[in-house]
Amino acid sequence: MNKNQTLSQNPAIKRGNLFRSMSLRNRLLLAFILLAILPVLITGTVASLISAGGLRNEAFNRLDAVASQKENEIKTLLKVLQTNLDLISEDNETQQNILLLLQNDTETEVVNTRLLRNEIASFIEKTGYFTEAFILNEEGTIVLSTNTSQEEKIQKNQEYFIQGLTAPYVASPTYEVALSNYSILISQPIKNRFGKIVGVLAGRVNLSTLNDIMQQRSGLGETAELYLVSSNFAVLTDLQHGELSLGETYMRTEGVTSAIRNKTSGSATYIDHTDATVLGVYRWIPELQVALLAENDQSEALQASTRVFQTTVGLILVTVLAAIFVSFVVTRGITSPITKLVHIAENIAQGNLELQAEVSQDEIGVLAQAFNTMTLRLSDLINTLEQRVADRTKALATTTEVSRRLSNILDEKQLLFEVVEQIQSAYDYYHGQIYLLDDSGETLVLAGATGEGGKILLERGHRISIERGLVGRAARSKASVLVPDTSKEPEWLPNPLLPETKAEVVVPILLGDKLLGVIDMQDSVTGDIFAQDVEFLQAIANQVAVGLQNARSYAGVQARAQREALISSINQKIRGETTVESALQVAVREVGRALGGVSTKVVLKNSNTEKN
Amino acid sequence: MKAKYFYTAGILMIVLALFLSACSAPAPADKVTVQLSWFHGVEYAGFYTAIEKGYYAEENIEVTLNPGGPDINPVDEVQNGNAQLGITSGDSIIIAKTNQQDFVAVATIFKENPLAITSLAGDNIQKPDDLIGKTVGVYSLDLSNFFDLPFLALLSRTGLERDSMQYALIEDFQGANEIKAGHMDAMSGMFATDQQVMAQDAGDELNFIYYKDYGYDVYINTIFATDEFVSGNSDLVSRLIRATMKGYQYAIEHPEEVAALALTYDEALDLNYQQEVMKVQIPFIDTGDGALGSMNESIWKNTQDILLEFNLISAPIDLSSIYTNQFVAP
Repeated sequence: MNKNQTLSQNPAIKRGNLFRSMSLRNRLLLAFILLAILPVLITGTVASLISAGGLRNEAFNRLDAVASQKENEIKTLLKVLQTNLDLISEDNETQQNILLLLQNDTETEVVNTRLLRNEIASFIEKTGYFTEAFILNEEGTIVLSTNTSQEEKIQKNQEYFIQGLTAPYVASPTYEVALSNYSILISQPIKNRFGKIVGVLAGRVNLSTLNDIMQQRSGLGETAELYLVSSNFAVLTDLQHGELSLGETYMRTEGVTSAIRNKTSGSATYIDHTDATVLGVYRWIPELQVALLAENDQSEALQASTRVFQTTVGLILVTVLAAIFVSFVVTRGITSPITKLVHIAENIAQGNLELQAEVSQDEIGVLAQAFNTMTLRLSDLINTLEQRVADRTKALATTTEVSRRLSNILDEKQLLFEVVEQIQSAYDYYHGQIYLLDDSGETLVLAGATGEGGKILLERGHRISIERGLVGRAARSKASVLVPDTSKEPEWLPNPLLPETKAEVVVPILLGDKLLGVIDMQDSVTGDIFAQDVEFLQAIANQVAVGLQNARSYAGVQARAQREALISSINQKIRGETTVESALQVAVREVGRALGGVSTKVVLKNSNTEKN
Repeated sequence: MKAKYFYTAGILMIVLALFLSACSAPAPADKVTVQLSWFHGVEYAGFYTAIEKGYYAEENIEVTLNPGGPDINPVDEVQNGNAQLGITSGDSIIIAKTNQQDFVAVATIFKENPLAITSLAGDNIQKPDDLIGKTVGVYSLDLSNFFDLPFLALLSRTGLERDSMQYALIEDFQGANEIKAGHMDAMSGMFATDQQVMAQDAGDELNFIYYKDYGYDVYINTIFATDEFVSGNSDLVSRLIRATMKGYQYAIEHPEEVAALALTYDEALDLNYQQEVMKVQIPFIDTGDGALGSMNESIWKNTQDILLEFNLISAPIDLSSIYTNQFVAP
């Protein structure tokens, strides 16, 4: 399942975030290149399209003009051919002979056929249009031809003969197997002097005549083709390109098909016989039943446009290179400081705070500056933290030390002295002192202090009302008081003997709910006393409370023991007396000595004896 | 109310099902057998092409080709129903008509008749007159064979005397063998296409006197069927001729390729020979004027005239009933 999920998710992620997953540099690079290419591409494409459209029209117009010209030439040729055919029988004698020849009834050789044949032959040779001229009788038999092998052939089923019997006719190009070629036949009726049709005069025109017309290419381009196609799709005239066997090569391009199938004229763009795309103009010539094609390679016709396109492509390449170069430089300028910052950040992540970022003048410079500051602060912070850990360790050790000592010291004064000394030195405070609440519960008496100032204050028997100062507040509230900056504390009482004091902390010494005194620590640096210090001081204060209790109970026990020993020795001395008098005398003396009184009396009562 | 809806829905579904089945299951292909006029060969290239290139399949026709031979008369085969269409000459169809066999020619393969009198080019026999005094190879010495009819027609039309030349019986029909052996100077009734290739292969050059040029203008291989079949299946005939002529058009544009197809019908055929024949027969199939397969009334009339002249039929028939161009492309 999991495998499937990852498999199905991965491509999606890749696709969706392709751009985002690219590096900053690549993204910038891509953006630069796109920005550079797009305008060139758009203008170039539009320009080549516009020029292509114009060139295409121009090419079609040129082809159309040539096609029109050729069509006219062909039509003119057909007229010339018919006129020429007419001219054969123009000469009176020739006409006479032809008519005589067609008068079948005379078996006798009234006409010198050889002479007539030669006459006609020399005429068509002179004009140069016909390859053969021949005369058919009413039955369609060739009675005379300039090509003798054609004579006697029966043509009565041929269209040119049937049509030629009634009016001048042009037959479409037809393949003649006996002659092994395509030819065009022109025919016209032969009338006798009474206007009766007695035969047909026909002329054969070789396709080369048409070929000659089509080969005069009147300023068409190199790739241009100008040719005729028979209605059976056979190519009738030579092509510039491609293998061709006249009359046997069939052409079925779109242009040819359009002209022959629809018997229309028009223009189109299509694939030609050489598989090239051509602009083609096609015309249907009904007189000859052939299609006339004028084609030009699209690539040649649109060469100028292609040049625009090529220029565009070239420009795109140049701009891409320029864009790559510029973007490389710019992105390097942007990304390399960032990369350096990233490198530094990675170092920081691994704990190395030694590195410094290069600072430039731009926004990244600001960032670098901020980075450096951050590194510095981090470094400081870490160092401070280390110092504080060390301090705390020391404080913990102090607390332990104070506790240990307190359990050993039973003398109250020495205890208090040790406590302030230890704390002050352990925390490196400027000054430390300890006050004990007197019996009245209204005044705090200085019981221990450090330094010269402390000594003087102690000697003076410094005391302070619990109504006053920070010390008083702590005592009243039975809670610690921390003043990081004494200058901002109105309740603070400056002491001329302690001029360096800038911060102060006071913790109460509490035994249960009973206030025994306060520990007061002063520092010469603002804000250098922390909440943790207070905790430790409070812990020490609690120890001090127990220590004080211990010391006091020890002193009490000692005093009771002395008293009981005194009572015992007085008792013994009293017992040593034999008389009541002396006994009372001793008792008074000893009690008085023990109590330090000036005078001692014993009063005896009857039933109640009282002793003071 | 609900029941009514069910009925409507049911009917709709049945109609839909019928409609779908009509769409998805095409009508079975029309099966047509064509009786060829002779053994397999490129003369029938259009049929081979139409089969192999799927032109018949496009028209939903399945065509079977039955080869002909000396003992097979296509007219009889079509008459007795062994084949729906046949290939035979125009004169055969006219003669059959007079025997109350009503056939219609629907297209012709060759638009020009290729029958000719062949001679060696060196002998310079270019026109019928040149035959005077020469020995002509024929099918029967008394010219009574049906295949001698073109020669008889030629004599008649050119006014040549039958006795102005000598005759010899053709025994070897291959090219100019008989001429080279000195048995004869010219051979009558030869297919110019075949002879040309055979002679070429033998290194000879031939002269041809085409019968069509001297009055014997007859369609040699028309595609025909019975009147009844054509009138009853005009759509099928139309599709069949369309596909066949498309095949011939492809054949004349790709002669070498389609010649190879003939070999799939008779592997004994020689590829090179078939290719050459295919090439030389192109001008007979496609003359340049009119659609492939189309026929001329004047040629049918000419055919009938010859038959009348030689008493092969006793009276003229209605030529419009004997052929039609309605199936060939305009």
